[in-house]
Amino acid sequence: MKIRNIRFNKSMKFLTLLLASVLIATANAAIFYSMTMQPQVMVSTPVLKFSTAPDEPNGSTVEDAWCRLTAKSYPNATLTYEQAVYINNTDSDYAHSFMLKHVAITPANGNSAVGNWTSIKFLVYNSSGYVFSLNYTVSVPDWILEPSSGETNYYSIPASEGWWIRLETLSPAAATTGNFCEIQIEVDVQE
Amino acid sequence: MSRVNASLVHKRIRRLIWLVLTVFVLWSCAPQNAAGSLYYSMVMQAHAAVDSPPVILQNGTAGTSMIYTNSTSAKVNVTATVENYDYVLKVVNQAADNWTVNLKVYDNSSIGRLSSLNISLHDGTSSNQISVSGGSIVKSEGEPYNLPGGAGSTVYISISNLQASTSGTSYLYIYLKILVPGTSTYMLYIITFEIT
Repeated sequence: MKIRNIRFNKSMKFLTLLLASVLIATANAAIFYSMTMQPQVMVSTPVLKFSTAPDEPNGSTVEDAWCRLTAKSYPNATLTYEQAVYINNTDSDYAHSFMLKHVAITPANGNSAVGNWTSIKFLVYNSSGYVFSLNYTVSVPDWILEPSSGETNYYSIPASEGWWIRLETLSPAAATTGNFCEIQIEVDVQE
Repeated sequence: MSRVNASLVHKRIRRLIWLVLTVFVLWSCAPQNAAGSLYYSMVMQAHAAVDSPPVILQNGTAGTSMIYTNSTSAKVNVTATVENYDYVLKVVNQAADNWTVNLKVYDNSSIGRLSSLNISLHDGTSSNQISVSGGSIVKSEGEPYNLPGGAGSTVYISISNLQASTSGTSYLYIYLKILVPGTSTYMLYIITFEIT
């Protein structure tokens, strides 16, 4: 039987067309060419940045995109730095969103030294009041993060507005002077 | 005749279906749009060191007071059979810094039986901080009172005009707020007043 004698109805023809189309589309993906990208990387000030606030703890360092807060914690007394550091939106036209994300803490979970703290809280405020927070509370010998994911939602700072972080520390009555903890938090900003 | 027409319509529909299918397959193989977002991360580091309290509580000479570990919280017990207690606690500065202190009620229980009560800070001058009258708190927070800098500098807490209409036990849960002058940095010490 010769191939030319095989009958091709319309459906078979469309199927052939379809398969040919797929083949063309697939083959198309394998064709490539090179383009040239010349990035220009300019050092500039971030649109959202840290800046010093009235209750910045003594010995702290605040730079545009990095800050280190050297706080104290007293046994059985809540210590509050009402405005520890500002987060300012320097963009006069657009709002920008940011979130707080836990990165690391020492002493780590399982270390009995964790029992020298009851809570360390980073609460974000604006002129209308409390907005959101990232909190570390203790269930000896572990830190409990709130929210438990270690990440807050994104919140939008309106153009040219400044929000601030209220830092609260609390140690149990039997906490031992000289112990310290280090916390690293990322502030992720959507440009 | 109508059969021939129906057959033609069916053919057209089949062609249309195949055409749509072909276009769909081609579209799905096309390069997809890349959706991205631009963001950056800032870093905040916090170093929190446990330190000795710069201000401590000490026992008074009137009523019964218990000072808890590290002297940052206390419980005071007084009875309503005596009107005035001078003084039930001392607030003692351990540092060179000046502070302002004040008292603030944050909770209470069974105070309906208290006809009157005043809790004051004094060191020469007196500042009425908390007042209860007719079973209700009529003043829940006092004005800032100066605690001068220097180790040993002291402010006293006293109770006056204490009267109860019935027997029982009432509680006032109070914060001693210790503020760094000119800032909004402050410590909160818990003082419990038990009034029998």
